[in-house]
This record gives sequence, C-alpha cells and structure tokens, in this order.
Amino acid sequence: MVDGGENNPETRTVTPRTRRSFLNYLLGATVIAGIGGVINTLVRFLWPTEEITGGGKAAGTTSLPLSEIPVGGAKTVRHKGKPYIVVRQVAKLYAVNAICTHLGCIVYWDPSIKQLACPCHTAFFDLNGNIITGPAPTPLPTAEVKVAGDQIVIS
Amino acid sequence: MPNELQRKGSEEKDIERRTYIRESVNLLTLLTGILYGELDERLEIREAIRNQLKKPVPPHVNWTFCFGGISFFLYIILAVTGVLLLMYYRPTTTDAYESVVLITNIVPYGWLIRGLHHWAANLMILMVVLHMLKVFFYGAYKPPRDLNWVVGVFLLFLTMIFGFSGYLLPWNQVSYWATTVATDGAGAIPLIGDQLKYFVRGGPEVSQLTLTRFFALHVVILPAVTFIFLFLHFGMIRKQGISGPL
Repeated sequence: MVDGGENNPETRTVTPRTRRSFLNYLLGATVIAGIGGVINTLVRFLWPTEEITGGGKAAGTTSLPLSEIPVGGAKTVRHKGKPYIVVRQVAKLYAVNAICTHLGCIVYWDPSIKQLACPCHTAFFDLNGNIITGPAPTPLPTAEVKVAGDQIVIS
Repeated sequence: MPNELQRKGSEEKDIERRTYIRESVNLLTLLTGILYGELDERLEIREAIRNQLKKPVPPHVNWTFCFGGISFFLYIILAVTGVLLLMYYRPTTTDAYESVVLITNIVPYGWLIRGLHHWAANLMILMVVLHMLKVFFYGAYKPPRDLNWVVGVFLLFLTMIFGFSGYLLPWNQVSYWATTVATDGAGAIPLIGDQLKYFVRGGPEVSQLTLTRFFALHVVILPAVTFIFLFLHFGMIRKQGISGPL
C-alpha cells in the first residue's frame, strides 16, 4: 500500500512558507541592509555639504567687510548658493549674478571698460546686468546691495 | 459590526503587502536570473566559480595560512578608502593639513574613512610581517617557491614605502620631521647618499616638491607597481600550489 501521507517525500506537498525560506528572507534583508549602510556612508561622504563648499545658504542675506573691496574693485561672493560679483564704484555698490546667461561661465569685472565681461564668448554687461553686446540671450539678474556700518550686505 | 470589518480590512492589506514584497523579490530574482543565465551561457561563470570554490585545501592548512589573504584584504580596503580620501585631500603645503582636518572633522563619515585607512595601513604592515614569519618558519620559501619569496620581499618593501610616503601626506609636525629624519638617513649611504637624499626630497630640504613626489608615489606609482607584484605572487601560488606540512 502506497503511503500518501505527509511523511512520504514523493508525495509531500511543498509549503511555500518554511523555516528555510524565512531564514533566506532574513539573510537577504541583512545583506540588503549591509549594502544600504555602505552606500549611505559613501553618498553622505561624497556629497559636498555647505560646510565643505564654504557657506552659501539657500536663503537670507550675505555680508562681507567693506574693506575687502577697494573703490573701483570687484569681488565674487556666494549669495543664496550662487556666485555674485560685487562691484564697488565711488557712489554706489552693485551686486550682479555672475553666471553668464549664455552658457554659464562666470563673468569678471573689467575696470578699463567699466563692464562685466564673460571670458568664454565675449558677452558684455553693464553694472545693472543689461546686455551691451555678445551672445547672451537675457540680462544678468541683480541683487540689492547696501552698506551697513563697515559691512556690505547683499539681500 | 464596524470593528470586525476594520480588522478584516487591515488583515487583507497585510496579505496584500506581503504579496507585494514577495512579488518584487521574485521579480528581482527573475531579472538577475535572466542576466545571469545569458552571461553563464557565454562565459560559463557557474563552472568557473565552482572550480574556484571547490578547490580542495590540504588537511594541514590552518589559520596561520590566512595572513597573506588578510594582507591582500587590507590592501583592497586601503585602495577603496584611499580613493575616497582623494576626493577631499589637497596635496599642497598650505592646504594639506587643513584638508585632512576637513576630512576628519567636517566631511560626514570622513573620520571613519580616514580611520579605516589609518588602521588598515598599520594592520597591513603587521599582517605582512606575520605572513613572512609564517612562510619562514614553515620553510615554505624553499625551492621551487624561492622566487615567490623574492617577490614577497619586494612586496614587503613596497608596503613599507607605502607607509613611509603616506605618513608625510597630512603635513603636520610629526610627519614633517619624521620625513626629514628618515630621508636624512639615506644620506648616510656611502658615495651616493647625498645624491639620493637630494633626489628623494626633490631638493635640499623637505618642501612642497617632497610632498608632491611623495603624493605621486603614494597614489599612482606604488599601487601600479604593487599590482604587478601581487599578480606575480598570486600567479606563482596558483601554479605551484600551497606548501606542504611541517
């Protein structure tokens, strides 16, 4: 007589949820957790935080000492996470977004012609960000800048 | 009976969630299975892995045979953490120390990566020495394995030059003066000593040029040379097999 009971390995139905499959899931979860931990560490290590890149908060104002920029000079600072060129003229300060609207090069202050010049494709802007000549499609955005005591404040 | 209904609803959701997890696991297995099958058909990976893993180990092999493998494992860790440290390290006399402080104190997990590199380096020296002692006292350096011993001695020197050049890179007081004293020792060699000292330092004293060439040595030249010697070392082990019992 053929044994049709549970103990016959020939006819025993395999239940999908066994101790082994549970342990396999557990092993898989442990491996995934381990790999996840390593990836998390690597991504956090490689991601440049604000402290590493040197400031540049996403909001608020940026200030720097007035003495850092002589009259007629200019300095590129980071404001709201973007580079701004601050130009000091005798009567007034100007803060212009330094990213050229053409292809994203950083413009510089050319004191001999009193214009902001892009080093890549010779786009020129005035101190209010307006296009003078060159391939730039739109003017440079500007930021409000004023002197508070001995500090330059960009907002 | 709202409670009964709610309970039933959440039970059904549980089952749904479980099925969803199982389905994604099944899908993942299926996808890797397809890829693996295709690859295995062409490259016979299964056969290769079986040959590697099912290689019989002689009964006299014990834990002292592990030192070489541990040294290699530490070398891999040093390569990985070293590449990661390169993302923030700046090899100039003005910036080097500052960048190491940045890695240690500000970069997330920077302390961990630097610590792993530091301790793996120290342990590697220890493991290489233990490996050498084991090979010596087992007489495993004897022919036909004498050439592999010579390659191993080169690897020992390479490991020590790794440690010596890496020691200068943080550019702090201890590393600066240690390098000054150690390169000064090279000057004691008869005839060529002074020339050698000048060459290693890249000038009359430890300076930016020393840091630059130690950096190049540590991250490019030594890894490449060590790779070649490791290839020879492991190739000879595979060809000649593990040494016999005492």
